[in-house]
Amino acid sequence: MKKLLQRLPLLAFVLLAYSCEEQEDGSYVPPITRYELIHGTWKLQAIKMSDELAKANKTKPDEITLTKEFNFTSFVIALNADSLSGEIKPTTFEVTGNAPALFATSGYWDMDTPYARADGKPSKILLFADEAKTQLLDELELTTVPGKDVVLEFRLVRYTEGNPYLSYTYRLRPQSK
Amino acid sequence: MKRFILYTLLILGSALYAQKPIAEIWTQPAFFRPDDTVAFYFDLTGTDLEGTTEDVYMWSWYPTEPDAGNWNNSSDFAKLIHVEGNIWKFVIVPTQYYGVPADQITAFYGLLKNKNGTKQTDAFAPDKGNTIFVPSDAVIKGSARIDYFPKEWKADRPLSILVNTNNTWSDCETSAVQGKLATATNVHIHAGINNWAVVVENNPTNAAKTALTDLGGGIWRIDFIPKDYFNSGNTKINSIHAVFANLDWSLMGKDANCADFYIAAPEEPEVIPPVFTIFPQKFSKKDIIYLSRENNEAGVTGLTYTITAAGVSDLTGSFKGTTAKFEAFIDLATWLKSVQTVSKIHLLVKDNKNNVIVDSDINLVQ
Repeated sequence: MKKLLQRLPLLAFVLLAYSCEEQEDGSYVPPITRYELIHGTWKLQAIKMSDELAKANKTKPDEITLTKEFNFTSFVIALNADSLSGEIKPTTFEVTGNAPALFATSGYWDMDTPYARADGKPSKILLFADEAKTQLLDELELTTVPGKDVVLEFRLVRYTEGNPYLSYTYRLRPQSK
Repeated sequence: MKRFILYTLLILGSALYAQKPIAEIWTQPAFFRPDDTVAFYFDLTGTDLEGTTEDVYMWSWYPTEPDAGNWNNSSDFAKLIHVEGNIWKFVIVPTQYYGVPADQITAFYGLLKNKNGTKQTDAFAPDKGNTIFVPSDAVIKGSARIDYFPKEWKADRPLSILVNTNNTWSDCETSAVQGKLATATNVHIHAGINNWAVVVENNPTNAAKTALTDLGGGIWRIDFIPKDYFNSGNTKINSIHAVFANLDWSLMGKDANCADFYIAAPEEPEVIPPVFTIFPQKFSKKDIIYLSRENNEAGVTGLTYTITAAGVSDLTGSFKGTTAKFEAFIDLATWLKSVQTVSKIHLLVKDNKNNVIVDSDINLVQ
């Protein structure tokens, strides 16, 4: 106990020294946008079709894999972008291959928000017919954002009277050059 | 490496040209001897000869090869008789057809073909598990009182029941004795199905129907198709009970302990009803749909679909798979791309026997 009391002033000094250290915070770096993460050319790895009514009612079958049907593995989508003063901006998109066209195959793309949504819902890739991005063709829900595992996954959801009845989940990886 | 390629090609080739099995084979009568007249029946459903309008010929190589050398031009003597639908029969006296004595005939191997050999069925032979055997009388010649053929009998196919009157029991009301029925000049069957629920009596009115044929040595035989014999209609036959007697019942033949004879129907595999699925439950003209049919009936070897919609030509195709499950993926999006609006499609699905499986309109989500 006596020893400890002898050492207390030393401990106090060390703590004081650390509290005076200046932190190097670096310059401001803007957060990475979805555009940066998802732009590029993506090739289909897998696709499944989900019966949203069956899922809601917990009946089977509720999912069917389509990957091996209709040349779906030939599906490639290019989400093109411009880099203006270091900032990635979405431009055109184009679908190639001979898989069935379940959504628009060319036009212009954007996102409903460049960042993750605050409400936790998936952000959407918006597909437009025109460069001014006024004529919306289709929406793709972004369900997996490329990260450490470079996988892009989106859902094409069909609605009737505001309720989903069918969806297609596309799972893609960067097309090898 | 060359050998590997050769084997691969052989395996691929045999897979591509694999013949389709004969759906069902039976004989009339079910019990016969090689020097009896017998009809071999073949159901060609699902084979390349299904629905053929050509003549059908026997190509047999065991016990001998009667039409050897004539694959490209089968002989008339090998021609089958058309019964109905895909059922054909081949009526022969085996000893005459194969030209060998009865004791050298124990089984028959072969296949069926058209005259020039461009179409054929898979074989009936040991490696296919569907050899036609000469039924053995060894059991009934021994200590057995009755025997029956085939063991896996069906209500709507020929059944042969044999009785050895030397071994049956008589005088059951007083002091039972064995073998008395062997002294009878005629033997009849008094029989009922499902624990005697429906009975065909041994009486003078039924004399012809209930009479057995004398095979010699105290062994008698009767052949009938149970469903017809008992006029059972749609009632499932679970069992047959029988006693034997001469026409005036003065001599009887019963089982051990004077019991009635009892023949149980073979265990039938549980029939699981077919299930047709359209996936998903709702879809639009821009979608893909999946159709499947599981637990198809025996003999259903293929399904086809025809989909119609206003403004486009019909979309047709075949299902993939086997009798256990057939499935088809259909791309409506590409097919209906040129149509601006379409409110419904019509789906027609048929099996290989031309039975209609589905014939209905399906509304599309707009």
